[in-house]
Amino acid sequence: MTRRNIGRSLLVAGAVCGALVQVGCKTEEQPSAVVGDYTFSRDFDGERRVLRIEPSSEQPAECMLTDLPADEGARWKETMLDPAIHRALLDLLFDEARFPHYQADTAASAVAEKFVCSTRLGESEFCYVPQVVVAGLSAPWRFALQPEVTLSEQSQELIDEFLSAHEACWKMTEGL
Amino acid sequence: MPSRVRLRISRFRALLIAGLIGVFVYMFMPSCAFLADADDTLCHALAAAEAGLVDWPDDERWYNDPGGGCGVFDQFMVCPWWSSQADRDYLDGFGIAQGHHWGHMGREDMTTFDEKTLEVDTPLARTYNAYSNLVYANLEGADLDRGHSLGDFEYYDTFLKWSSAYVTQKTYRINANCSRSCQTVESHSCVIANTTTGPFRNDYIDLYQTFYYDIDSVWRASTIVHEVRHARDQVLHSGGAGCPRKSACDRRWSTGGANTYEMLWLAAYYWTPEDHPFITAARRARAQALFETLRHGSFDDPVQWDLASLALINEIPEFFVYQAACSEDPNNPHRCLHLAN
Repeated sequence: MTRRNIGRSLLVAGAVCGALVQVGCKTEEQPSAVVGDYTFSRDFDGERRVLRIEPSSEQPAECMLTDLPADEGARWKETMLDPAIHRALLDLLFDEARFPHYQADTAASAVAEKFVCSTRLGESEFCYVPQVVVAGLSAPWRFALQPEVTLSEQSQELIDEFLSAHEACWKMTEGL
Repeated sequence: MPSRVRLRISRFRALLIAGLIGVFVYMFMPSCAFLADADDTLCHALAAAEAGLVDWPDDERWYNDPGGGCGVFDQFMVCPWWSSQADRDYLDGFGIAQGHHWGHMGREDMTTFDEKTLEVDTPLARTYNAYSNLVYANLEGADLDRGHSLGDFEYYDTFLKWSSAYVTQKTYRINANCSRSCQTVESHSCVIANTTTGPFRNDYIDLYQTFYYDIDSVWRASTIVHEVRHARDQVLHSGGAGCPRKSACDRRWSTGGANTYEMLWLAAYYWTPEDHPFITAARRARAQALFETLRHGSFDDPVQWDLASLALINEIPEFFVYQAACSEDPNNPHRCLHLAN
């Protein structure tokens, strides 16, 4: 074997060893779900909107807007919400006088849960429930968005506030 | 020397110098890891311990827990392990015994409790309470033999028995970590636990301060089931951030990911008899709420199955564990975990 061949063999062996070490050292980190923020999401009209806010308006809000079914490219934006918008949303969420309305609408929404399905050419059937879900509390609030369910005025106000906060978040970061 | 060669050498040198400068700056730049995190109250409590006595942090449940109702799950008188060394040994068998950093996280004084709330207060005790939900949800409790093959459904005749063995057999190491893994200091957006896995290595799960003090023990237990699915099985989140939980999203229920397993366990816990000696109505309600939260926020494709769909999970566990083809169509690649979706 010539010196050149030995050199080549060593090079190949080194590359193989390097690749194996890479595989052996490869690790995946999987964080469990984060807690502590309030998440508002709406699936409606073939679209998903999500807003995540923290208890403090000094922390950034995150928002997402994507078509349904949500694909891997769903994009999130992060921004500082106007404290007044932030406070208005949380005030509605934690107004205990409204809880009975939220509870009643959640119960009615669970009973009336109805999936809207569509089949795209060449794809399997995709189904979703048109609704708004608010999580981050001890149990989620759910508000069905279907004609059979009439939501209370209080729940509707909460939904409207969420949607305007989402719009503010999405638009604020649009130019970035 | 031809000028082209000289030019190449000088480019090479320039790149080398730039690379070295980059490495130098990176090495000495004060990254976040070097800075004290003002929010690490547990780490500070440990550092400030006097004569081995630690002033353990108080609960800081961030979700709305009216009247602190879930705190009772941590009260010492409802902890079956509190007076039994044999039970504590059994709980250690879930991977805590192999874990790091438990020595100063309550190993010496795991039976202490807050005199006002009566809640056990060390991270180790609260981790025991997480595993207690896995162990005492079975009527055999710490007598259940977790060493049988996971395919032995004559022995594991309920999903809860199977899941207790699953968690034991699929965990290598559970580490205690005093940090709060939050987005920023004072952010409430914090990681509960983190699993590191990969080929040719022993997996491990790190539990953070949020795990011990910010969530209740039923949530802690379901988090363990979730993390274990990442660990030895190496099933990672398959969603593309298209759902409210972002990077913790799975594509769909039938991928059998960590969120599916977590929900299966919560359903099995929920569907235990009403007169169960350990699972009280409050614990059951908590499992229901957590199930609903995951159902509506952890999958890109909405989950069609609700709690009622899983009512038989403890009667025929094998039906819920085995994965089978969703369709007889050989071109349909989806594997189903009991119910298609």
